Amino acid sequence: MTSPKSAPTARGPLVAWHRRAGGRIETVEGWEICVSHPVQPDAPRSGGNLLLDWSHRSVTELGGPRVSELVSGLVGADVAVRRMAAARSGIVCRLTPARAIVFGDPGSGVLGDPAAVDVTGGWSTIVLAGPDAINVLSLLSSADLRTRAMPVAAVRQGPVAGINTLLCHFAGHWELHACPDSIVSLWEAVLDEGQAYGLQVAGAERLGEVVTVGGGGEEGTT
Amino acid sequence: MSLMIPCPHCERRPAGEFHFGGPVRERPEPDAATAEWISYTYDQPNRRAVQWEWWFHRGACRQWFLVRRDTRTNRVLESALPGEVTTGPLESEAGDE
Amino acid sequence: MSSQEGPCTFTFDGRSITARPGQTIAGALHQDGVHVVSRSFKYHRPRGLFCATGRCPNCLCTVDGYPNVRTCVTPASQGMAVRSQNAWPGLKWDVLSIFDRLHRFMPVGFYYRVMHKPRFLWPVFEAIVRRIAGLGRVDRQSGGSRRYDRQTLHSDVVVIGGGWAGMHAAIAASRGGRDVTLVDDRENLGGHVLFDPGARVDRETEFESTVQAVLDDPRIRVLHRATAFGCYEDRLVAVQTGDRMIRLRAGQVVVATGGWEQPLVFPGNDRPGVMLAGGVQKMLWQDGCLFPGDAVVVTDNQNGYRVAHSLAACGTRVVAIVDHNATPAGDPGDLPVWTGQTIHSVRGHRHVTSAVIGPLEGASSATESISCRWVVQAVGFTTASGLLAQAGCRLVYDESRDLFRADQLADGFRAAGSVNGTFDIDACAREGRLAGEVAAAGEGGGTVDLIPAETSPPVRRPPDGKKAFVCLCEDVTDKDLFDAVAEGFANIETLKRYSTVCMGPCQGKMCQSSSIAACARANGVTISETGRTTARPPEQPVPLGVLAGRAPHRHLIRRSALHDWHVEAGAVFLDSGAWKRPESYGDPAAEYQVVREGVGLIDVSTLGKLELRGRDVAEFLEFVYPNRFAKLKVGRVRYGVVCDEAGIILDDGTIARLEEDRWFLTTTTGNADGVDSWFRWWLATRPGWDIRLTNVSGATAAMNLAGPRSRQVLAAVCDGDLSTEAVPYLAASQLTVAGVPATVLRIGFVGELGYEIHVPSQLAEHVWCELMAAGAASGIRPFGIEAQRRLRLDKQHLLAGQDTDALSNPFDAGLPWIVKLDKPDFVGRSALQRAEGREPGQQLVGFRLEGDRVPPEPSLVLVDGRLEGRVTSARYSPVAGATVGLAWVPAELASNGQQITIQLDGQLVNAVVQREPFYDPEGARLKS
Ligand code: FES
Ligand SMILES: [Zn+2]
Repeated sequence: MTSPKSAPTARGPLVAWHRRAGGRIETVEGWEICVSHPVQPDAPRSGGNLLLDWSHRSVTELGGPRVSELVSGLVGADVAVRRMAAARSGIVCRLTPARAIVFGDPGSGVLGDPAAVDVTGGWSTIVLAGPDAINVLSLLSSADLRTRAMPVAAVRQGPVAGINTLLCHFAGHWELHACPDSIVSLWEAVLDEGQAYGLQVAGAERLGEVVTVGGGGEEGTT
Repeated sequence: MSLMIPCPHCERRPAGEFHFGGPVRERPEPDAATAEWISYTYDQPNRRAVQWEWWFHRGACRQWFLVRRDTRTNRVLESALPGEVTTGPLESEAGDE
Repeated sequence: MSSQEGPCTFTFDGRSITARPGQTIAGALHQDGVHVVSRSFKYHRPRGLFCATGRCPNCLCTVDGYPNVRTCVTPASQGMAVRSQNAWPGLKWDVLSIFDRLHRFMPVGFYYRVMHKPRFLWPVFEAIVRRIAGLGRVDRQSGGSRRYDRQTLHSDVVVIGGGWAGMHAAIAASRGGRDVTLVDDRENLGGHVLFDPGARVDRETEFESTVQAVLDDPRIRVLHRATAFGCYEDRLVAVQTGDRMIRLRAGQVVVATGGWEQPLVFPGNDRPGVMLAGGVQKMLWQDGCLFPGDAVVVTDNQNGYRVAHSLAACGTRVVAIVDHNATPAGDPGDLPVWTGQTIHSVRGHRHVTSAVIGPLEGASSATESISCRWVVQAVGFTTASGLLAQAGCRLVYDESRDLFRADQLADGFRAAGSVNGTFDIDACAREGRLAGEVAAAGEGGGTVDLIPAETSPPVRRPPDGKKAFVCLCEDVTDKDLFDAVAEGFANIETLKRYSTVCMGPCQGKMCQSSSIAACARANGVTISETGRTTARPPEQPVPLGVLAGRAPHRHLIRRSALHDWHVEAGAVFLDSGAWKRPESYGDPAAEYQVVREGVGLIDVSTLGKLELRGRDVAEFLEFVYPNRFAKLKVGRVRYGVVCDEAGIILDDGTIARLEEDRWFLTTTTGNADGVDSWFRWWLATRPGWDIRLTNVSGATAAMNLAGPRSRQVLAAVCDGDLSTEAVPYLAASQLTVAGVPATVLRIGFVGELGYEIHVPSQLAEHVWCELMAAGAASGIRPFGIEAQRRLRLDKQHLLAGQDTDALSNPFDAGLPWIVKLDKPDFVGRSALQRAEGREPGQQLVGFRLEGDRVPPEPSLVLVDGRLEGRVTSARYSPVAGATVGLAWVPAELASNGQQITIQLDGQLVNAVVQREPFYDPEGARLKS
């Protein structure tokens, strides 16, 4: 009956990859994260193509007939299927009428609801930003990425590099959410196709400049 | 497979993202005749007809839904959520040839 | 035209060749006087440039180790190494050209007909045939480093072909507000008109402004040097460009692929120096090549006159325009015309030396020989309608145009220009515009709208069955086809397969019309009645690497949340589907021992994990499992087997009730997705059920802490009472383990006191490391799945999928207690009820085999020499002091103490059936 020797530290599935690649690892708010990589790529607005890991985030799955009600509570209005919207702190993605995923802290009210399941370790997030992001994606997925089919705030589930991925289109970047067991494969596939476009990895300290939509921007940069 | 299947949640996607679940059939009552159960369990209907079928979007939303397809032309006519189609969705349509 | 600044040099079979900027390899060779570029496939006849537009087999070379490159459309670049193909030892002195003299002994099907006897020599012959008849050779070194990729693009309107009709279609579709992708296989837009100054007369500015309009239009994306090679369902157009395959998903497709110029069939028609008019035009105007010496032009239309004028303008002496028509089809100017005549043969071996000209019909006595170096043919086109045919458009033979063309279009398709047999340049533009407008409106399909053309049926000398090449790829002659028809291969499809005509690299582009004509003539029927062969992808040859894309280099690997720990601990990994799982950490025997005697820890995160919430979950579980769950108490877990309607075992796992309406289920690693989908299907059939299923397989990691000392290790990191009273066997507890909220299931797959601990994945490594640290004093070790398999076999715990198969039901698999037939309804009840009453077939039983020899899976179980069963699992068991295992055996042998015979290393060994566990049969250790 003793207490654990150390406070629990959460670790995303890409941390070992970052460490091997020479990234600087720090513990921030209970998560081990890669803060920076040795090479600093250009910012997307200066033409750089960046790949970041944003797996250090709470994730909640909402399911069942009350999803509309819960989403409205979080966002202020219901969110259509295949769309996302910013909540107080985080992003709500609506996948089906009876299913939504909240990236970021949904608040204790929602977490206590029987329609909500904490699936924090169940989703890892890759952020892809830069002028060639859409070209890299077209090499990995059969998705129709034209603005008409995939405007900003659109959400699409489906295979990317053969891995079931939730693809979210933000004004300045794309987010790829997938199961942590496959995220290393997805990360390496994106990097591989990105080679031709000079895609480079960056640490979480760059999240703030890349992620500009929603309330989640500050989280990764602390 | 380049055929497109319309998922009610994800819109049109290549058929390779899906798993085909066979034509919609009525499960016999628990006390139905043995012959009826045997036919339901082991006979796979393979008709030339317009029929409602089960499809599972395994590579994306992982939801089951219904597709009405003409097996003669492989043309997909519509899709629906279970319970959404009110006029006998679980009845296959006849209309061979 | 080219990104290159100055001239470049490359080598051809070791010889240095200089190319002008932008010149093709073949162009540079031609300019350098190299006229024999390859040897033919079967007879090794010398072959030179023929179509010069990338349609025939003649200029295929190996470039930088990459075989079958069409050098007439491939720009030369500095330092390229070009090698000829099908020549051994070299192009000039190809020893195998002896086959050419032997041709009468080498009819079609020669290799197959002759060399398969005697049969035992076939492998030897085959090796030689492959060497002498193969098409190029794959250079493994350079091939492996190529990077193939695959891209998906979507477009409202896809126009295939950037010629006159295609460009107008693209512009019209863009004006209609659509985004357009124009696929063109050449360096520059314009199609054949680009190289035919005569065709552009009076339209020079219009031509240039049209090309510019396409290039400047922001809604038109042009894919240059891109070949559309397939049309698949729902308008998926497969395009190859370089090492990339583009899957182009189109709303509407306009096919403007034009036509392929067709050769005449006459003896010597394959000799270097015999060429097609379009190719000559392209060589003259794009490659800047000259055709020094005398030329004879054979024609039945205006094209012939235009090429004659082009040649004359570039310094060739045109000694005759041989026109099939009684009156000249064009304006010869001051060039000599021979009307009503055609070519009968050419003379010359390594190059043409003269042409024999004579009347279309009748005796060959009236022929005359004209000495010349070049014979240029301009006798019309066949439509490039393969993509339309693939798409399901109906092709018919159009008598008046003398060609096959689409007449009924598939949904969403339009055809414009020469692909319809429309050759007039203004008519092509009008058809293109019309097709573009229809496509923009989204109304493709229906009947083809033709702009009527004033065509006169061509005048041809009919094929007469002499030895003249119909098919340049496969060296099939006119005579071969007549012979094959006489042998009974009269149908065009069987004729193709037997003679291999149209089956070479050109895929019928050069030979389809001639072979159909020959087939029709040999059968004495019309072309319409003969029909054509089925069009299949690829329309153009495609490297296999392009089709495979990146797939061979990249396959999905799934890793558990503890993967990196295992790597550091030196785990030996086993591939289990896409998963990497530790098979052991180097010493499975020691890992086994530590679990039996102390404590071990195994990563079982790959298990499928489902959380079900809602009022109707209990009812649902009662329905999808054959055993009972309605009365399972909160805080308890139960083993369950999932069966299908036939009563066959799909999977097994545990079902825990965490709260009244909250349940937690596990599945096996391999069936995680399958069970998820199976349950979702049953839920979909009953939309009224109040059940929410969340797949938490990725969100949750799991580890099994097992062994007599596991309780004290867990207690060290867990605040709470772990006594058997508080946490009994089959308890499902919510505990805090190492500061982390965990679901702890007290189950014992390996047959010892044990805890299956489920925690959020992001905290898995923390919990694992805390347990390892807490167990250090007790000698804890991680164990892999090899130790786990041995441990569970001691207990005769089956592995679904390993010990069961698609015929196994719970009765036969030794789990009769799990089936509750008194439940009114559940999945598989009807079948299991029938199975219960039936005479049992094979049964899954434990067996004990004295000694330490282990029969590999699946060894055979024999009864009186007959195969009557099989071993599904076997390992040496230290606690049993013998080899133990599970096997399917006949029902009469399935009781305790029965002897069974197993085939092991070719010998028969006897084992004894044992129906209770080999270790701790009462389960005292599990429940301790
Ligand atoms: S000459 Fe190059 S393909 Fe015909
Ligand atoms: Zn879907």
